Formats: sequence, C-alpha cells, structure tokens
Amino acid sequence: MLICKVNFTFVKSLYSFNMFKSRIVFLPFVFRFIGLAIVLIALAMAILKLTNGTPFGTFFRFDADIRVYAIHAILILGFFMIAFSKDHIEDELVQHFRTKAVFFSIMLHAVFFFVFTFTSITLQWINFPAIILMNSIIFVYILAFYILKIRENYRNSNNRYE
Amino acid sequence: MINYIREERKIRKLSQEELAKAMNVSRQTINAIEAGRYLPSLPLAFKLSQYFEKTVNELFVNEVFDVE
Repeated sequence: MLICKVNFTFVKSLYSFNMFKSRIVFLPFVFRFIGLAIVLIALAMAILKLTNGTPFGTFFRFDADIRVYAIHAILILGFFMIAFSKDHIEDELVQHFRTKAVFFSIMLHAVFFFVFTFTSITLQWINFPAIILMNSIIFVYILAFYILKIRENYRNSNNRYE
Repeated sequence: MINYIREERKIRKLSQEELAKAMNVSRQTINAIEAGRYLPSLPLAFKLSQYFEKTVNELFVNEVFDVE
C-alpha cells in the first residue's frame, strides 16, 4: 500500500514537472542581431558570387558549386538564430504568434508543392535542393511572425492610453 | 467571450503597463485580451482573477451560455 502511494506521488510529481517546467528553450535576445549579421554576410557573399559571373539559377540547382551550398548553410544559421531567439517579453501572445507563423509557413509550402506537382507547368519549380526548402520555411516563418507582431503593435497604438 | 478586465483595471486606476508588469506579460497582451482579440491561457486567467479578487466566471463571460 505504502509502495503504491510512493509510486503514485512520484509519477504525479513527474507529470507535474513535465506539465509546468518543460518549455521550449529559446536563444537569448542578442542572438537576433547576431543572426541578422550572419544573414547579411551570406547575402553579401551571394552578391559577390553573382557579380563574379555565376548565373542566378545556379543557386537553385543540385549540381551547384560547394560554395553555393555554403552560402545556403550560412543563411540557415542566420535565419535559425533570428527565428529561435527570445523576444523582449516572451509571453503567451508571442508564443501564440509563433504557432500561427509556423502553421502559415507549413501550409503555404504544402499548397505550393501540391499546386506545382499536380498542375505541373514545369517540374523545375519543385526540383531544388532540400536546403533551399529549409531556408524558405524558416524565412516565411520569420516573415509571418513579424507581420503578426507589427499588426498587433499597430492595433495597440490606436488605444494605448485607454 | 467577453471580459471585464478593462473595467476592473479602470476601477483600480491601473494602466495597461502596470497590469502587464504585475501579470508578467507584455502590454500588448493585456491590450489584446481587453479588446477581445486574444483569449488568455487558463493560468493567466486565474492570475488575473486572483489579482482583481474575482472569480474567473466574473471576469470572463461566455456570450452564448452565460449572458441572460
């Protein structure tokens, strides 16, 4: 009886630990600026590559130069830091925006692939390296997240001193 | 869902910033809740009700079932 009680208490405490303590761990706020700097460096590298005579289409091909893949990889690192760094006040509204942005990004990509697979005007639109898909998902997520935040701030500014 | 957070806040002469600070959330969150654009989580709803010394039912009213 005692063992059962001890076990029950232990399981209960574990359950409550999981329910209330385990939250997503985000990077500190400063990583947002570091991420932005990395994205700018990657873009500068891409522009340099383009000015050196590399055609734009090369950035979306499987047989691209390893340096092109390196640019994509650096871009992912920067986007990741922007996307997963904490907000000033990381409260439940911000978490709500994050969820909405992830949903929007995944939905948009699902629709894109569905449309371009079945209405296939050209297969080349869906034939690109996975690293570009990853970049695109994170980029749309960041875009949607900031649009939601800006929209909320705009609505807020209308009745701030009420 | 309608709520009386704005009314309760005004009775206590609190600004949105002050309430947000007490609730450990941003001012935007309080504003969105007051305007009915966002429904707070259950822990935040309880925290608000404790702060205003009301029950959750008194602060948040379901338009369909509760309003007579």
